[in-house]
Amino acid sequence: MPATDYAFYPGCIIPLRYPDIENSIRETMPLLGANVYDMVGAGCCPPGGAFWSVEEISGLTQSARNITIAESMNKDIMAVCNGCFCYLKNSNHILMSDQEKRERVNTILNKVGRKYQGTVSVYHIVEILHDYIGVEKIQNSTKIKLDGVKAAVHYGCHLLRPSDHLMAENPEKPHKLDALVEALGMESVYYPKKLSCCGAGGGMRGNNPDVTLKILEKKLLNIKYSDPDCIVTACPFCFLQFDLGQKGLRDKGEDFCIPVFYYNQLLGLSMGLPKKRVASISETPRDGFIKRFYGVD
Amino acid sequence: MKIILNNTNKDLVDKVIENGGKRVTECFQCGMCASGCPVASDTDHKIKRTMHQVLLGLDEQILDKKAIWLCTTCFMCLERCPQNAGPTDVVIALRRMSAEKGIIPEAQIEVANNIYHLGHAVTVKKGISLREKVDAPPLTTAGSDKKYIDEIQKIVDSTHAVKLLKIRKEWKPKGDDVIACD
Repeated sequence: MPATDYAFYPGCIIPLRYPDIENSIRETMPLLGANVYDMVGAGCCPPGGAFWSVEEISGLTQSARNITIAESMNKDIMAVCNGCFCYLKNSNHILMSDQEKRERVNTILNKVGRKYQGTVSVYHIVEILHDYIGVEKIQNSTKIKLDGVKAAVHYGCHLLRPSDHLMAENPEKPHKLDALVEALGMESVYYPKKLSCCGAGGGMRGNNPDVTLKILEKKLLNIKYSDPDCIVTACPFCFLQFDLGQKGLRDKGEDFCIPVFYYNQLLGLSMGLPKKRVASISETPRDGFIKRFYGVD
Repeated sequence: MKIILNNTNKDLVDKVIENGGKRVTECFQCGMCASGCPVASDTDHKIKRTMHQVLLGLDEQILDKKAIWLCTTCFMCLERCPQNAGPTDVVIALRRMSAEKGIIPEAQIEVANNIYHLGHAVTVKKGISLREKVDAPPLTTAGSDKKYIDEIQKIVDSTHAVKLLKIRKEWKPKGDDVIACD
């Protein structure tokens, strides 16, 4: 059972592109009894697209370096991005179970004065919110209820799969993020192919901008089937894909303009936290949603 | 159905196994992998065909093409494969073999160089100005201090990745767009 103190691993996109999401996490979690502490010096996780795709040890050692920062804090890691969660947890698993690889990694880490010990676990923020804080506490923490507001929940791939080592959710029938969304009063609506990819990962956004938008468009057409008021996710790369991707589709003359939120942004607004700090950066407009349902300009 | 391997394809299968696609020979070509694949219908990346090509030893048809780099690594195929043949692991193994031949897309090189020089997959300067706009506390991650970036550089320099990802000593990011981070 994790403690109430976590080593906060922010990744790259949240601190450097959506720091309002970072604020929303920093400010909502302690109000629910989960204190978050900075992992000073933490670098990229790194994800599967680059280092893992050419060779294993470089990716594994960079992940191990990040994990050693949490080990020195004696706190479990709270990952707030699906990619960070998947690759840090996968690395932690490999390093705990494969002595030969652990020794190779530690030989390299020794050059920078670090040693991986295998003393901390990696959790996704959705697990912490759902499993350890619980929906009841979240329900009781909010001042503004979003009754009747329809949300399309997007889990994203690396919170669910590969399930044999992530073990965060039922990979075919996840429910945690839906339950968290409903704790805010919203209705999590059904839409076809809910578990499918947003189209951003693996280097796709950079390697093939046309295909990445095509995959997103299919996803959005499925989402539109349920006519939601917003899309909710707990992965910043999926968030970015929905936010910037819808703008990309609008630039091509397509009609996609569904407000997108990272879960803690809605949680923060529902707790009465200021919009400027917790939900003010997006290319796909959200002000109308926030004005309509929270009454905030 | 069991696919019988002959001498001509043995090397490729062994190399894929060595690079992490450990269960590739379990594939019996049911097509479950392609059924959930988000890119199968829009790109040349046909995962069922790739699995078959590996088993047949048709390496030049896979490694010289860009298709394997169009996988979004969503792991749907790996999750649903009834044989647990790990198609995503096979794709990653093929990427590793392709990179050994010097074939690697620009996006991968760009992201790796960003991580090596900035500590992050995305540029830092723009991030710091966004942080100021929303009253976020000062950055404390690797991008905040050269001493952390030095650590990452020492780590990468100790591995083969420095050559495979064409890490440059002088680096100027192309732009502030987020091109890959998952």
